[in-house]
Amino acid sequence: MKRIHLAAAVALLSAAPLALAQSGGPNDAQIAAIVVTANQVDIDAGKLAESKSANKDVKAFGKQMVTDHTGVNKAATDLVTKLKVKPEDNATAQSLKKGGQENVAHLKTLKGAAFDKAYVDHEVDYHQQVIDAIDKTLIPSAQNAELKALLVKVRPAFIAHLDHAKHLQSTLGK
Amino acid sequence: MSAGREALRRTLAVAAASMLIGSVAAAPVVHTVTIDGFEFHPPTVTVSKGDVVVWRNKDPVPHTATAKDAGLDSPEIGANGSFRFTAARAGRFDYVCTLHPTMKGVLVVD
Repeated sequence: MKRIHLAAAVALLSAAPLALAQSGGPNDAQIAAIVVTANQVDIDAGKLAESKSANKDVKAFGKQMVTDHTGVNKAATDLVTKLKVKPEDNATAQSLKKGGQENVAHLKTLKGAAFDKAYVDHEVDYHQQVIDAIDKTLIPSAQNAELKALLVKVRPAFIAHLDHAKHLQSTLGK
Repeated sequence: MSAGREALRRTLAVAAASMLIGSVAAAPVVHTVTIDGFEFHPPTVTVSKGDVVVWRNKDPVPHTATAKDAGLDSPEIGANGSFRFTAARAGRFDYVCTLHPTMKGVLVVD
């Protein structure tokens, strides 16, 4: 059941960027919406982990996600405000949002070690998906130099989070 | 103004001037490490004992610079924030960002 759910979420996440790439990639306003949504989704999951997990490392990781993705979102929001770009909703942003809502709904049904494992497993997959999107879709598609530079600048945050999540994943259940 | 008060004023002025000169002469060398893109630049900073190292965070998220054995233990340095540290212990110290342990730097104090 959980495996099917995860597979569905991954399929949702990966299908939409592909569709956009085929139609020439997202424009800057769409990229702005994707970035803000991607961060918000992880902030929501992080808040849940912070409040619901009993594992101090998982709690700390959740708190870190909230802090870092809030910071990245502020930088992104400041930039698009300066550039007078209005984030434009699109299929990728919508699928990210839907995937995030489904993940949070699923996590809310779990407790204890099962919650920790599901949260951390999803964080590993999620950050990998976002890094792939940054590399294959967002950075190549970004037209504005400052927007492109911001994406390049925040990419290491996602790498650091992926490494951290993988490390956490390896320690859970031991 | 009485002669006594004038003498006092002069003494104070000289004292203030010498303190100023003294503090300029003793000003420590300041080294800057920039935190950008989840990296410390330069990755290795070499300083003399008593020098000051300032970490400036250009990332949109908080970081730390931490090497307890060097006495280096910054609080979270927020976006566009900085942290000033006086190198008091000699040695070669590996330091990290405790929030993102993949971020590593080296502080060498001669």
